[in-house]
Amino acid sequence: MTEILSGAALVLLDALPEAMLIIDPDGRIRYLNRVATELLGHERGELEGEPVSRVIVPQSGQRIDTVAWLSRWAEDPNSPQLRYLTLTGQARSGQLLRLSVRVAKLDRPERLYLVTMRDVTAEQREHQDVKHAYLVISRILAIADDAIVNVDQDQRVTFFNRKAEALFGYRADEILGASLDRLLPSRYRAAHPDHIESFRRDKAPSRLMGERGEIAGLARSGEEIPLEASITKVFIEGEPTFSVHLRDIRERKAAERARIESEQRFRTVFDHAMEAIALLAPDGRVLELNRATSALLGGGADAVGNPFWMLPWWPRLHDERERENRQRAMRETVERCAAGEQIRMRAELVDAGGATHVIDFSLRPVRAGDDVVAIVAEGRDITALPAS
Amino acid sequence: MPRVTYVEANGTEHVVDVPVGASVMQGAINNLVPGIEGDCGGLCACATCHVYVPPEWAKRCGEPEELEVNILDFAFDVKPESRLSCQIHVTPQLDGLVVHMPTRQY
Repeated sequence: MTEILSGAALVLLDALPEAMLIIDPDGRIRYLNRVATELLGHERGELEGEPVSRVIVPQSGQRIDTVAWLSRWAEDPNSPQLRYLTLTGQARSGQLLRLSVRVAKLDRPERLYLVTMRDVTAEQREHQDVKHAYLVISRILAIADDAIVNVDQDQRVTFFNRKAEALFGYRADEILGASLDRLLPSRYRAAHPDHIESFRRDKAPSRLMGERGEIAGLARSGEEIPLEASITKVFIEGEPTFSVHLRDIRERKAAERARIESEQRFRTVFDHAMEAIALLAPDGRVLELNRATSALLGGGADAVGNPFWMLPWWPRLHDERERENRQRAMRETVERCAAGEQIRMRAELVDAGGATHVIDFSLRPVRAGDDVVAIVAEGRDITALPAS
Repeated sequence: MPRVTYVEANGTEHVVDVPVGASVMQGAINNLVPGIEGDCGGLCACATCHVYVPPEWAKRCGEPEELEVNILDFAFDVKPESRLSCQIHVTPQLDGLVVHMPTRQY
């Protein structure tokens, strides 16, 4: 190389903080500076005169012709590809390096290419790691079970996941960049920016929405959807992103309504039955008594929660042993029923006024699958009926 | 909207509706399909949206231009069916297109 470079030029190139190669149009390395020897781990003498493919090595299935690309880039030093394409270098140790290169050509005294190489291995790795972490998180959010809608400071939609697509009936590409207003029933639109603004100033990083009442979204179909929502904010360089997580509560509301209606129907039947009915837990505790029970026997307001055999209406026997025997017998009867048996018997009960009633009395197990989950005790007053 | 199936090197399939006019690369990026990077954003300058197009679809995808063929030099595991997905623009005729992704883009 000394034939074309003076001593002073060599000193300068060796002092450059960037790795530099000079190669000829045949792809032979004619010179490498000190930083290049350090980067590649080769002595200068090992590489001078060697083909550039010793240090810039095509990888699996790559068709790249390094010299052709270097000469192409030398002709167009501002090529956009130079920003994105990196060459793969190999150090003497075998370690692979991602090299960002810049090329200039020299025409005199002969055609040569001056190549600077910057090791961007770590930079590229970091960039890829961040990108891949973003991809993983984004994919998780994309398929999350909640609808997730992100908006920016101006309430423009910046993220819209699959569940949001299904909930609102828009595809993400139709709604990204649009105002959040499109997803709000018109009566909420005027006040909504103030709510967001107050949350922006709030100390809390996230909160449940709907403290001011129920939340509803507006689907493309025009349907209003009752929603449960929480909102969280993330500030990046001072710019907030608001992420709203929404759950469609139509089904829950319908189930709630159905449950209330069913409860009301049950109540109606239970309380309007002519028979006295008690609902017992399998262990014999009284869960409920219907109105006919109190109408017949009076009192009993504090019966709920007590064992059936301790109800105040069993005959008040003075003989303690006899009383205990009867309680035990009733307890065993309840236990038989809890084991699955249907029981029907006559019993005598004493009402709050002290009058004795003859009761046609039954205990029936209520099953869920194989288990007895409750017992229905029913009694009909047959005092007035002639004994058969 | 034409439907495109992206098959990862491990066999995982992603079925995505891509608007007419968008590139196959954009369809993947917008739908978070792993395996296509698209670093340069579609300038045909980075070779990180490399895919394999099965021969039965090759014709409908159109012939690659010279720049694309050149940039493919930088892609890994290049085969005769290699394309850069940023240079394939979705048309109604591409409904049902299947593209396979290589094991690496870097």
